[in-house]
Amino acid sequence: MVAMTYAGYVGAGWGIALVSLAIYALRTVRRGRALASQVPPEERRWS
Amino acid sequence: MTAPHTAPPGPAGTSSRATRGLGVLSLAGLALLLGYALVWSPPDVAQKDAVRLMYVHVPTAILAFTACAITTVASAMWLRRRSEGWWVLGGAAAEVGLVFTGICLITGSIWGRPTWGTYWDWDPRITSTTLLFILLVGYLALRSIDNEAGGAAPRGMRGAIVGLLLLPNVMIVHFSVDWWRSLHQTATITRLDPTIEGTMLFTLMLGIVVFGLVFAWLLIHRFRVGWLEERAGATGLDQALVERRAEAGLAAAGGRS
Amino acid sequence: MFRDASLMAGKDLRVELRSHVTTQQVAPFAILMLILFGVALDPDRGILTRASAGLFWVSVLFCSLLAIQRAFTIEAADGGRDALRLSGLDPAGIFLGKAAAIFVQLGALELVLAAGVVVMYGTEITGLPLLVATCLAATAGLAAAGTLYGVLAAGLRVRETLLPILLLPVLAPVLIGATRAFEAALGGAAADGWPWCGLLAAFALLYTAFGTLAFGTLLEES
Repeated sequence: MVAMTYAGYVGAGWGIALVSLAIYALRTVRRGRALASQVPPEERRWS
Repeated sequence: MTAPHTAPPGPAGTSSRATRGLGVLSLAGLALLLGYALVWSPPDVAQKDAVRLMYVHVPTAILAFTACAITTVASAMWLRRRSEGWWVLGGAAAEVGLVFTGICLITGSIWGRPTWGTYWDWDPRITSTTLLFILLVGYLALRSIDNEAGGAAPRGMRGAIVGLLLLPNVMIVHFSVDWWRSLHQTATITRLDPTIEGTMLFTLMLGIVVFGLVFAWLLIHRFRVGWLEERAGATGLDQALVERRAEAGLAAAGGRS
Repeated sequence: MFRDASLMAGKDLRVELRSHVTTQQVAPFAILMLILFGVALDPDRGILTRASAGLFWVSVLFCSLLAIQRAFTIEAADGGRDALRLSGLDPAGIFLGKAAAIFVQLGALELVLAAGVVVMYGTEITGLPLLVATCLAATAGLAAAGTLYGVLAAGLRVRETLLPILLLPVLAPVLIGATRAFEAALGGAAADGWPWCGLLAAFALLYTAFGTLAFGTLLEES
């Protein structure tokens, strides 16, 4: 894998993609937690 | 929030059994995909290892367009049924779609550097994807501004019309740009399409499936967040009214004494 | 419906005739754009003549933003919109009328711009039928889509910044088609341009139809 050509580009591309998704996922989940405490449980019936 | 209250029972966030399972599956899938994309699939004859970016760029492109389709359908359904779920779905799909479109553009540009020699080549797909990005930004901006205006009836309509037109616009733009750039058919356009077969084809299909799972997971969570926002907005308003009245009562009492 | 449309168009055009906003502000803006392009792109290099199709249509596009904003501002003042709703005019007619008024104003602006491009960029007019057909089809599309998105942005405080990012990506195909058709006409290969003109006509039909159908619900809700 170290012998991969254009390793920098491939790494950068995949890295940015995965990091962006992770950040967005964390933000969304955290927003969900914050909002859930404000809403009565009848309104959020999923588990 | 002034009145102290115990944390309400029920799910602590937007997770559920389904999303937990989906999440685990997605992560496992991503691991497998990375293995194939970065190691086990062969480099391309012409592009060498740069082709490995295709396994993230193409799936995200497909899912970005899928997100637009979902928003358009959700907008159409909202126009017919006016139920809140469709409204929330339109926005959720658009936001997740925006993330995927952004990733598609960035990976596409990075992929272009070693293959085309530049970060931007007016390739028809990159050009129309950039316009798609702006279409989504505009739609989300309209929705958020509409939110401030308040009142349920005026609020839904603008967003729904723009959402309804989202997929048609995307398709018209894509078609026009494609036709336009095909007039300048050069080797650069085909450089982004290596001959795909065998393990490469499998990896690409795997990429579409895995990113599809990730998309679904994000969409479900984002939908629930949007749903909670609507609910919190309603309860928040009630609570604010209660507080205002309490304040007004205190102020009246204080003014008299 | 058509009677209401012509009532609406007549009113808008009369407002324009009395206030002269298009002639006094938007037309100078159009000329200004041509001059700015000339300043930016150095007239001696022949770029301006070669690019005149594109520069013409980009200018039209930006002028149409102004024209559309204007068309809805005149309603917003003095509660004109409520008066419209109560007037009992057929909403489809209102849409067609507004779009028609914008069509006429843009057409006039295009004549001004055409003169500007010929004089300032040294463009030679060839393939006139294609040029005229393109202008008609493209302007119809601009007017229809612009009226539709204009009313969407109309009630909002940030419409000046929102309308451009909402509308311009939607109009990108018009820009592409009109420019290609113009290039074909000006380059002597008119036969290549007619398909693009067809695309423009399809776009115009699509948005006119959709706007006619959707305007009723939109006008109530905004």
